[in-house]
Amino acid sequence: MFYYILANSSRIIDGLVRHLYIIAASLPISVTIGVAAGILISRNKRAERIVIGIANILMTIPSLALFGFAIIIMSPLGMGIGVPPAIFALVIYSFLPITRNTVLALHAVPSSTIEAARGMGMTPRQILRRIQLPLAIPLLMAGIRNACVMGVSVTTIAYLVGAGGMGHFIFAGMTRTRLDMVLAGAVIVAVLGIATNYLLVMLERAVTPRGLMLEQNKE
Amino acid sequence: MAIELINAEKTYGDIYAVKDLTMTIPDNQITILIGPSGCGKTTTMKMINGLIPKTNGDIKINGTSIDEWNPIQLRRNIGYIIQEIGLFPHYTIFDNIATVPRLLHWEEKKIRQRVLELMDLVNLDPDEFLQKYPSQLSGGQRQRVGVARGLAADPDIVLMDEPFGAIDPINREKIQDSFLEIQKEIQKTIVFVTHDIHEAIKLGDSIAILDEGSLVQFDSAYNVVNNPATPLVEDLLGSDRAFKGLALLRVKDHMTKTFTTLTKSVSPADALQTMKQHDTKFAFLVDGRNNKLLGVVTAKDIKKRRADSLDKLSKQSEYIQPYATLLESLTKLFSSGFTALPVIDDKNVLVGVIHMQTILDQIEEMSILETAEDEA
Ligand SMILES: Nc1ncnc2c1ncn2[C@@H]1O[C@H](COP(=O)(O)OP(=O)(O)OP(=O)(O)O)[C@@H](O)[C@H]1O
Ligand SMILES: [Mg+2]
Repeated sequence: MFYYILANSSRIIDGLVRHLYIIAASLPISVTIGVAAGILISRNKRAERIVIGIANILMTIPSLALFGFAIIIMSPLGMGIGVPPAIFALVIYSFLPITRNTVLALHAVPSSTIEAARGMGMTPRQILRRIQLPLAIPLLMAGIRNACVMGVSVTTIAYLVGAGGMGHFIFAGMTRTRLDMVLAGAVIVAVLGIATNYLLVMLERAVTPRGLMLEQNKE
Repeated sequence: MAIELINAEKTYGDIYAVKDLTMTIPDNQITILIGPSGCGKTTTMKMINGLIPKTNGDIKINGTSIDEWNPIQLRRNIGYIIQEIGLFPHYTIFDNIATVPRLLHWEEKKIRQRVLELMDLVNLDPDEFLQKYPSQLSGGQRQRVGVARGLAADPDIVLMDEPFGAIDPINREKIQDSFLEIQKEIQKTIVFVTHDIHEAIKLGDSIAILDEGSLVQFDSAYNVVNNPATPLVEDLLGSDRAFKGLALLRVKDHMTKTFTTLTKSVSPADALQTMKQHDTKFAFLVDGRNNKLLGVVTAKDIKKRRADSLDKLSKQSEYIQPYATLLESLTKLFSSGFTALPVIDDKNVLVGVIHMQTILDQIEEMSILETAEDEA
């Protein structure tokens, strides 16, 4: 496996760059849509039930099938193959869990805290921005982290829609029954997942308000 | 700012949380809401600041119906201290207290000054606490921060939902004393929820008793204690109702200002002489410069122990504050074993003495013992 990595380092780097590119292009979109949608629907009980219901169903669709749908949907736009459907599929795949977690995170803020804020005359917007969102950060970030780490491994499937990436080594390796190639791809994706997780944990620590960290450490 | 409730009601389905409540809450006074759990105290409070929309009737703040107030403006003008405290965990203590002044766009300098003032009021050391977060404080300390936060923008009306409930009894009495002392100055219209009848009698100018959402009695604290309207109110007052009358009377109104003080420089022999002249068996040792209380010296100790300075002879003494009640004094007198208690202000200056006999006389004068005998 190491021999394979060394011998094919330039192809692996290309694959890695492509892999990261797909992730980097789609995850910011899903985080933005996911968090925004979460905030919007958290204000309406019915919207919330419907969206979370749909999210739960969509999340049971195998990721492979989702890439298939992406091809079908994007084809009429002339983007049925390559990076665009991959990004599309990845966004769909990851924004729903982010939405769901955003809603859960906002609801996890103690109602007494929100009551106090209302009682002091904060507007709903001020409550959201100054109280709810900061207090929701730990759970919110955990949701984003989960979605991203999953996204890293799901992106391997992008290879099947012609988008390239690390999936190449795994799927091509499988058809050629080259164990070292499959292993190289799998191990690198795994390391990438671990690194992503680590980076996001650091980010989470950096953006969690100090008062909340103290509270968590106490528990 | 007057608060008027006119047939105000709140229903949940067919359950009345508050039923046909009519009362005018007097300006610049403390009005207590008391009653069993679930009787509608919190609901009444939240209807006043619009957190819970009333179902029927009307509520007027300053003559204007609550329906016509902009709820945001209204709430910024009414201090609200919620039962669950509800500090913002991601804000420092300073930022928590500064919340409403910031919403009102006060200048930072003015806010800082006000926060320091409030920390003093609730008896928390600013240097120690202002930069801490709520999770680093004890329950009682958090509650005091909650009180400071509610008073921060100097609102005319303050709603306080069991604000001292989580504070230990000793600190609670102290904070009640300073609260009364401050109220004398600031004269806010305060609606105060408690389920502690002692607290109600001590703090309340008037007391409203609620039961299952309805008003059972609304009267001055004195009248509630002496003429409970219903068996429920009697129950609330308890079997030792007679003694509770003492909670209506404040130390400052019944202490004597004639007492014997000594300074450290006085020799024990001279001290004995002075006591004899004043016909007393004890005297208070004070700091000659500022009259701060240092301890108590008894004639018995001087005779028995033959030390060369009063300093060595003086003992720590129980003390009480001017705004404490006679009931609290009585408890302290019993535990101290003396027949008189020094009264000191919040700077430790000796301002008076309260005698056991005075308290016993009061019991007689209020003829509350007679009432008790009649019942027995
Ligand atoms: N959202 C709600 N839905 C249904 N019933 C409610 C709701 N909120 C309060 N109640 C009911 O209204 C009544 C009054 O409640 P409230 O909170 O005012 O009581 P309280 O006097 O403050 O009690 P406590 O001393 O326990 O704080 C209670 O019987 C309660 O069960
Ligand atoms: Mg309550």
